Amino acid sequence: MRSNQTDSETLLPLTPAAFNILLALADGDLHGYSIMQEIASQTQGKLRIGPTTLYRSIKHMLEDGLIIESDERPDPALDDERRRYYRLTALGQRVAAAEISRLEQTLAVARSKPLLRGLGQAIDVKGV
Amino acid sequence: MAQHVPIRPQPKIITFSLLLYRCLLRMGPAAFRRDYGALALQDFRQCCRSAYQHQGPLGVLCLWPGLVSETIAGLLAEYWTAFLGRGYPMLPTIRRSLIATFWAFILFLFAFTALMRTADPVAPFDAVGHLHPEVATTYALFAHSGIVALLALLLGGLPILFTAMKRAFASGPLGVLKLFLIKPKQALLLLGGAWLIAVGFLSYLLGTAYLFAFPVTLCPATQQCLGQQSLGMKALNLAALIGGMTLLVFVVLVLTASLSLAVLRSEFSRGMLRFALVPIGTLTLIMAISTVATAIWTFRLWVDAPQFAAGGSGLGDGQTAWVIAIIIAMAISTVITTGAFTSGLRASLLHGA
Repeated sequence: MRSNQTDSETLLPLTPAAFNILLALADGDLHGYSIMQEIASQTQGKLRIGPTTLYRSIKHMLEDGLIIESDERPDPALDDERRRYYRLTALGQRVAAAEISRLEQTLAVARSKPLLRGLGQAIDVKGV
Repeated sequence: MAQHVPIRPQPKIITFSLLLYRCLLRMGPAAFRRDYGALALQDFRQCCRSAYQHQGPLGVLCLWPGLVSETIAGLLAEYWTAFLGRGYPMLPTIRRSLIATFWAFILFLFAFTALMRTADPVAPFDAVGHLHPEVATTYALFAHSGIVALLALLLGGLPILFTAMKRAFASGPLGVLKLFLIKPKQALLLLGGAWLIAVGFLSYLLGTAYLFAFPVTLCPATQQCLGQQSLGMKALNLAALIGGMTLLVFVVLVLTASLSLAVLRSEFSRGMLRFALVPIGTLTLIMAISTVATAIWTFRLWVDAPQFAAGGSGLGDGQTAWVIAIIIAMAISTVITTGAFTSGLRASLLHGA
């Protein structure tokens, strides 16, 4: 258990792109373009990543074992064979959870600051 | 009945945007371009189509500023990463080390078996060994190294295989099948490789038989020897030989590839991967000792007992070339294992620091 926690924490903090890719894949296997769309949708268009950033992040996340290429295709008949699908690994799930916990701690510290107390409502994160 | 779907020509603005993106990608590192260039281009095409559908040519043009800055910054960062490396590449590095070591061991095993067959029957070689202790010592070192190498591989490989199987069993028999499954394209590639190895090996055997002109033995009347067979029969025999050998090599390659894929598809704890470095290190040492011992053994045989070495029961009739090929194969497998071990150890030390 301790070893798992250490494994996850060594990969923190995640870049916004990597964290959002993990969140996008939390609902199931996706290919590159659908990851980009899902990120735009889950951040209400505030974060849009281009194909270069996407595949750089995917490359590093594959190297770290956060995601793997998936052999399964949701609908092979309708799908382009050249597409690659990606899946969240157990390590990826643990790292995403660790990053959420880290962000929650940061948020708690931010809320406790007298100067920012008035902004408490403004920095309330919806859906987390 | 097939329906003809009219193909709509791609708007020029999309074609031009794709050309621009392709040019930008060309500036990036070759490895990134090779692995992800086509995928990135495919996704960008889809972005362009979507933007065109919603906002027309202006929508596609609006993608450009973001695209140029994002791509240039990303590719520069990729160069930087390629140059300096990343801070925590331990898991994939050791995983790659494991797979490289396994393939190197298979090559080593082939070479080891081939040399054991070359020095068979052992009796005449033993006789030389009695007279020249260094020949006996180097042969003993080589002969025992094979068994120790196998033990080292089992020590490192079995826990990894057991963990992979245990996790796969949790998702049912299909999970186990998926763990070891080889795609048709990969199987075809392996079959091609197996065929090339079989043809290469047979060509070598026929070539040496022709070059060293083995004496023609009298053929008993009850048997039909190769020299007496018709051309069609000879071709059929050769095809059967190539087919059989291809099948044998193919099975070995499929088993090796299947186990490698299982390692790639499984998740292992950091501790287990770190532990695997111990047998990899042991294997590296054994392979190096074995390769050096084989080289010294061959050399000493020629120096101490040249008449025996040149004879048919020694290393004559093309056997020396065969032994040299074996030593080269052993040296290649040692170099691969050494590289795998050092990169795995470096990743482990960097991460542990």
